[in-house]
Amino acid sequence: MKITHFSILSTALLVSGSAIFTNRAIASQQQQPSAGRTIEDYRIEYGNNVATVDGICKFDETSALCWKPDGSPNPSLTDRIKRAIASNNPSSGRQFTVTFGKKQRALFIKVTRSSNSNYGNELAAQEGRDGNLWSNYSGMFGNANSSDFDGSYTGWNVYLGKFDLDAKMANIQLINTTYGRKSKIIPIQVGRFEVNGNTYEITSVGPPPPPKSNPPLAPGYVQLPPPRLVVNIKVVQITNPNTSLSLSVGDTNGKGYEYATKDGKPATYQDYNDWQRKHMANPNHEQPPFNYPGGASFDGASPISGSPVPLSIYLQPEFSKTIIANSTDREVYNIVGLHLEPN
Amino acid sequence: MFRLRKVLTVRGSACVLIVGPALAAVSQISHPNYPIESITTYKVDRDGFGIEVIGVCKIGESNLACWQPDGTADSNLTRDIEQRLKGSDSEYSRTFQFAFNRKNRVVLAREVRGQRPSEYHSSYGFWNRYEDYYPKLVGWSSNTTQLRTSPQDFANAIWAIPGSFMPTDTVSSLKYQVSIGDKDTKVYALKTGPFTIEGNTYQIVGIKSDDKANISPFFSQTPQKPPGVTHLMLKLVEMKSPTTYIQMAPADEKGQEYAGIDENGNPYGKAEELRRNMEYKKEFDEWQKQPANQRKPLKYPQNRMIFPAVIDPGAADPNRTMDVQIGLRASKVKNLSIRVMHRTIYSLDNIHLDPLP
Repeated sequence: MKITHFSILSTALLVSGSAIFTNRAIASQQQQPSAGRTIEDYRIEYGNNVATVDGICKFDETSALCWKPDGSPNPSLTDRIKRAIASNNPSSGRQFTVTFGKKQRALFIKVTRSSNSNYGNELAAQEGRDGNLWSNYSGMFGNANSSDFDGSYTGWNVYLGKFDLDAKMANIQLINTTYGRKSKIIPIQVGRFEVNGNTYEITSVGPPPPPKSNPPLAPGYVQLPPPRLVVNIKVVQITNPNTSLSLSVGDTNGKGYEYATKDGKPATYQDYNDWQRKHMANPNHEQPPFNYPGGASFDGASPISGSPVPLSIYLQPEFSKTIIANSTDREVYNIVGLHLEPN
Repeated sequence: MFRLRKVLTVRGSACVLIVGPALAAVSQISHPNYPIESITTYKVDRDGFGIEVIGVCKIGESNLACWQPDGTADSNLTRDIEQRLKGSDSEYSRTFQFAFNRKNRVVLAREVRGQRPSEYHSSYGFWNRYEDYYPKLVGWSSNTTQLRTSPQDFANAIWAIPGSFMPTDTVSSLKYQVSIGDKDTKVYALKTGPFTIEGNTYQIVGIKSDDKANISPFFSQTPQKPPGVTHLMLKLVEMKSPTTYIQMAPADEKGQEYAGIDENGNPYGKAEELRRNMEYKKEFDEWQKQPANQRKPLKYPQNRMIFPAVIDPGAADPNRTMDVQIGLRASKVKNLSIRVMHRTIYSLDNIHLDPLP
């Protein structure tokens, strides 16, 4: 019997990896984020950050040509990119790609942050959504940044876009994500709760159903026990699609846990590190016998079926008293009128 | 430690040169121990396994030019590749990496699919990687893409492999390996001490058994007992044939290789494998007969596979003891069943990086 095992292995790696993200949940209503603000002057202010479109570049194997977003020449950016190419700096990655039949462009956005800004912000292209053809890029040119003694910072976000050969103009949709601004403590009991304008419902709390299958196991990994408690949560109403929610488990006071032992008891990072130190010489490279306590996430912008999503908790019920709901806010910007060719 | 390999008869190759370790040392393989055979006809056909280089292309976002490996411009090939690229349903297969300040090209090759002796145990494929990633970044990459006339047309697929070269380079080589295993296996008792295979002497300096471990993947619906792992602490004592590597599998008292591991973590042989296969086939056939909307989940076989451990002397460091892991506890490994694999690395040379004027 020949068995294709590769998918099993990859699944096993997922299972034994971050348990928090294996319980991905999606919102129950077909919602899209609001269209967002239209930006016509190539400049976004968010928090204490300012993002300015520096330019657009095209490349060949020896050189680059850059222009400002309105198509006017940008000799400064061209010069800097050319110097990066000529430097051949291996650490910055010297490889790029060409797609036959597609016009590929790199968009450079300069981000300046004053000393007192909120570090929880991130400006990212919303890849593939609403026809957005840009993707976030972190390879060559992606790590130019500097900071000053006062804590201010200047960096460049780089996005790669691929367009039809006859395309002349493009827009980019960027999302400013502010992490962990609000958190709410919810007791683990059946009932509704509201976070950031969106309503969710805990539909059941109880032991997990008997396993239908043995979890796939990657070579060298130890068998971790199944969850001790499953909290089923469904989305009731989404009024704010520009928010997402990550859920983790906490004690009576809403204090979160770091790890769960094989016996379903709380463990700390220190316990985990101690175990690793003791077993570093183990030739089998065993997975540490700790699990994540458990978690789930809901994205208000993603469509879902409406059925409850299980939050699997690997701690004994006596330790699992609350759900800590961290919400993430997003603002959507549409920068329009980007010239894909120089004037 | 080296001996030059005998000249092999390579079908379809008029010229076969033997290249010793001196050239091998500067080959695309970082380890110096592999001899490499030079091919100047752009084609290797070794018992039905092989590759033929059919061209080289320079690809831009809106321009494409291809030529034959000897540099002869070929508009038909250019048209064919253009149609394949445009017809591809995936942007991924139209995307090629390139390096700045290098001459970037894509080499085209067709797999030779000749009459292959069915009883052979074999492996074959490209043997590329950047010759010198740091700091030069030169050579054909290991990122291969298939260009097809239609998504289903595997038979006429062309392999496209991007590479980067110094601007002054005019020709390059593409490496390809074919390994063919002996039909019969050799049997060695599991014990410490030396053993010699094709002039390569290994020594088992220690045997450890970890009865609770598992390195064998499995398909299962019920919890299974781990089969354990045998660690062979192995040293390469002498190497006379760097291209001869071995596959080592656990075997029973009679030297018969185990075919799999059952749900209790115990090995079974070929007869039991056959019985299990028949049983599963029967179950699958019955499952298929059921209406699709009434089917219960199909039970997967309750067995694990045992993969042989591979020991490649050409890549071994004689100063280090290897930890060779066999996916079964030592108390069940009565013998080692060893298949000898003969690897030949070919260098398809003189591939022109630019069209002739």
